[in-house]
Amino acid sequence: VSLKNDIYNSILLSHSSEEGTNYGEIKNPDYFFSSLNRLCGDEVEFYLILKNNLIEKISYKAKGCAICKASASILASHLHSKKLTEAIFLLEHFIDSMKLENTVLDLSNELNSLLAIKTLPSRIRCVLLSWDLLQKELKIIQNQTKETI
Amino acid sequence: MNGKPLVFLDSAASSQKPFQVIDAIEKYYREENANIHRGVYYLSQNATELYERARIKISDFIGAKCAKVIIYTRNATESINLVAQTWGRENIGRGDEIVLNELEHHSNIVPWQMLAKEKSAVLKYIPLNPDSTLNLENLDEIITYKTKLVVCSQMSNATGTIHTIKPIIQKAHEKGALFLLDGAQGACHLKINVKDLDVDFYVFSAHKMLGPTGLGILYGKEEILEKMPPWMGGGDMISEVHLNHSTYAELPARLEAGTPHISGPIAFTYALDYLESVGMDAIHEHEVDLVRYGIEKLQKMPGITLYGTNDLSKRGGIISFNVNGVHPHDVGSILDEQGIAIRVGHHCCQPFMRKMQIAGTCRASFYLYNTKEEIDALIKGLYQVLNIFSRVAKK
Repeated sequence: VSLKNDIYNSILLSHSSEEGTNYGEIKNPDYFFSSLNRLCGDEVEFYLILKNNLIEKISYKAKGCAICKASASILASHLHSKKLTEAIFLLEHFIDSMKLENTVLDLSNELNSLLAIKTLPSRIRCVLLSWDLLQKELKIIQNQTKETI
Repeated sequence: MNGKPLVFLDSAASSQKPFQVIDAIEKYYREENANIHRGVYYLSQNATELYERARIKISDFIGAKCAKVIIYTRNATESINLVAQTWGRENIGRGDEIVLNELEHHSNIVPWQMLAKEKSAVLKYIPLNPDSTLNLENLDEIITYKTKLVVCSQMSNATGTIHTIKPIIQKAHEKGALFLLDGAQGACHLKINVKDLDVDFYVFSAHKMLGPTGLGILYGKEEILEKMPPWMGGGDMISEVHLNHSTYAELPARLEAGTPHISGPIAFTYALDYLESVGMDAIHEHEVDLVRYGIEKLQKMPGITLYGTNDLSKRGGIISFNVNGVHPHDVGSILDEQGIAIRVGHHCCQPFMRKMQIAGTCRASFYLYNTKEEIDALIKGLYQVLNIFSRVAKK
């Protein structure tokens, strides 16, 4: 309950604004992904430039509630300059942490402020819209690169 | 709730229940439990008596002429589906028209879409005015001799608009069409007389009017119900069953297959007694009073958009609004932290939200037990929302 009182904290709110470092489109991205929750209208877009399996550039656009927008921003900032394998590792473990009782990872303050939303079951999907999308898409990229090797 | 006193402003979704109703359910299961209509022993006969007496009470409550035109279902949605799947399948054909409107609840759109698809029928919609009242200007072009059925809610669950239905009912009957009135938000707040309204079907749910969940009502004019084929087959709805054919029971049993929610109607009678003891006119007046008070307060707040008509004579106990720049779900979560329960989202009215170009609204809905102090708590909670989100704006 103590977590619950501070869900709309300064970290989350600052990430929900559209002035974050990773907000906006990348021209000619290597990859573009989008996802929409039809039930509430939350919508996220991600733009990626990938060099040698390294996420060199990532940006996002998000429409919807503050939690959805903050989650997309925090995710983008955490994936920036990560290797594909590291990115997938983080995605999987954070999604698990959101769904399971105990967290297994030492998380940054930003990820912890997202994790606090676990206390609002109806809002978990607002957090995970971006994470589920990128987990699915990055795994596809990983499998494709394996095949080409 | 969350360490704060609960402020429950979501009765349009489902009302709270008085002790009388809760006690009646408990008493049934503790002392009166038996299946109905078949036993020759006391308990079964008594349960049957209570269950059927409830039907009389319900028919009196809505001014129906007799109890057999009251059909028990699970909820108002099932009542609408029953009409679509029985009367609709028999009477709607290729090119026939069903008239709805743009503010209807999904439960009064989707069953007709399904029927229209099956029968190659056509759906037409009465458009809305900007204040979410129905625009009846072109009713002559919308309701025509091709129209077989017109459906409308009595009051919108999304905006609280009480629709002006009389001219629509008259027009429907003038063109030989039937009229179904969805009273899910009507029967709980307004005095009802189905004979005076001259509706052909009336549907509502017990759980929105102090009663238990799992009980819906379908009223139909006797001559129409008499001609409707059975819907679900099974026990209770038959007269005789042979290996190759069956004959069906009289109304209302013909439309009620299987063991029903016996305690539902029994407990519901206590809800109706409760409502009658307060008086439906007094309830409506109280709710409009709360809406007037709430709207005045909200209009004084910065950054609030209100939906629905300003004409309070066309409104029930609902205020639909948005905090500008803040998603309704965020408003709902912040209010929840303060023990305030409102509904946020599209309220099962996606076509309306699309028309308004919004993801959803915040909806505070009131019932006989709500108070002005609770509206004050809501306003205080909304200032908290503004406060939290102004911190972002300032950065």
